[in-house]
Amino acid sequence: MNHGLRQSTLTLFAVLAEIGLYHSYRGHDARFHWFTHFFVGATVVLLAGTVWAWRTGRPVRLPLLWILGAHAFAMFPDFLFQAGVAHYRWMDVFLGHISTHFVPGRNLTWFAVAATALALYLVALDRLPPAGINGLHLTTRGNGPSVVLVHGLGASARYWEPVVDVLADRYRTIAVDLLGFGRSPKPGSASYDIDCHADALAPTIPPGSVVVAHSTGAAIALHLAAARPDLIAGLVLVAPPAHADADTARDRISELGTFSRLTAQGHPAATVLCETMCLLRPLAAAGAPVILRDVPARVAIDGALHTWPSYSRTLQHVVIDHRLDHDLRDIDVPVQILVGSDDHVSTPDTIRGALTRTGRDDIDLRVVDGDDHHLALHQPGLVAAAVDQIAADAATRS
Amino acid sequence: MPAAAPPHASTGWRLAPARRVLAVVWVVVVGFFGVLLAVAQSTEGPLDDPDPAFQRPGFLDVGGLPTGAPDINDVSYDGHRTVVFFTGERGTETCGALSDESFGDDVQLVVVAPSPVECSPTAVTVGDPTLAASFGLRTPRGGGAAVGYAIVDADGMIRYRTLDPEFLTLLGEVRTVLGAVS
Repeated sequence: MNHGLRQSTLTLFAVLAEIGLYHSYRGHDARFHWFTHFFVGATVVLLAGTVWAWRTGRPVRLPLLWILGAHAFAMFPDFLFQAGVAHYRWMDVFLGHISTHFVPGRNLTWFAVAATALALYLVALDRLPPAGINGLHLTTRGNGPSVVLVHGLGASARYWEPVVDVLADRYRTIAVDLLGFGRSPKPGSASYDIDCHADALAPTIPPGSVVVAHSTGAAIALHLAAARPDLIAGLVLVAPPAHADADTARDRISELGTFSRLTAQGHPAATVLCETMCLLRPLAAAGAPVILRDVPARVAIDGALHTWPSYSRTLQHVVIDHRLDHDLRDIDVPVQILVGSDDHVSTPDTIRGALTRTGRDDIDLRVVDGDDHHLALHQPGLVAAAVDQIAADAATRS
Repeated sequence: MPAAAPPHASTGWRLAPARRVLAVVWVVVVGFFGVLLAVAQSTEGPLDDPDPAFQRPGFLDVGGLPTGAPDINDVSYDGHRTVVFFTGERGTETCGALSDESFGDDVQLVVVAPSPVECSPTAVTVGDPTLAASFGLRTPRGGGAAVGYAIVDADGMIRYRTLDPEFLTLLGEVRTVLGAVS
């Protein structure tokens, strides 16, 4: 089980355990006690978490599990009671197990205290520095010249496994999880615009690498290559999003389905749906392979690892708002573009239009008959051949 | 490459997206638990204690305890632990349930109902409805007769008392508290 899924599973366990405890107390006609000990436990964890966040610059990992732990400690005398031990005053050592019931205002007071502690913790989170910008998750394999592989929106480094299988015998492959996706950090405060992604990606690329990038990742890689030709020796762009303008991009994305349309339009329902799926991440991960049938199950499961801010802001800033034209015009490294003839996301015509607008007739565009947006999954050998070609071109130039 | 905008930047009165998400989290969490607490408190029954803090399983010697138990006709506390059940209208049902229960050889059971009821040999029935107040039981939120129980130790001191309209289904709790009293 991967790290993100394990965290989500533990979080779900904490939620289910609290529901179970609530029902248990209700069975003893003692809901009041559940609220008291829960609010007290949550308050202790949130205040401690606030101090932790201020001192370390990091959020508390698995806060709901900590709250469950503190709650269980506060209610420990109740476990003892079930085992036949009555309550005594000394049991106040368990976070005031007895006295907390008698504070003025009773549970309304504890509710207000817990709500204040939550506010303090959220303020502390808000003031955290954008964490892990330079700590993207990498998967490396093989030996030889470096090839960096960058996935598209909502995917992960695993997207490139078929291509890595072909390349690893002659290249050192570095498959990257983009900022906010897969196992990379997902700072809620990051802008996730193209400069933010490019800044995060740059440290993962050894100078002189060939970069292979898909869809949204292709836009980011192209932007970085235009700005840092010292870093990137050549590019293989698979299905880059080359829409002529934001409206066209939005229309194209909207055709992909209801959720895509709502997201592209910035509809609140998309936020609610995505945040709900984040709360139920293990279930979303389990259902992803059924819903996303056009990618391997491992990639679909990783598709549940991103957050709403990382997904929505990347879609808005990188796919909808950003135009490739400027970067295409400035690029000064060998580039090969691959696109499927049946790609409805990045169509051959939109890419031809971008090349025409920028006057770049020297960029190699290859349209693959009968394939779609995920041609890299279907024809990894074709992508590997493009890498060989670009690597050879780059070597010739240098 | 131009520098990214400061992540916490605000424009005018509008919150930055990250801050807006945190604000939404706070509102959702606080709203959820506020509603849950309100629902839980509004579903209390008329026989429950108006202050749920006092309707608690197992807190010994709090709320002015221990204190001397009032006299009851035909009942002697000396050398006996005593459980006094205040049954409200469910006197007969309580007596029936207690006949199947064992609390220990030295434990005497007293059933207080509004009118005398036939009970098992170990339970003494008393028809005095004002006895609950003498034992310090609180008035239920709906008014009327208290339903619950008090536990008296062998020295005649009340060690525990509570309103508990569900005590017939929670006799294990009675047994646990009784086990802590000598």
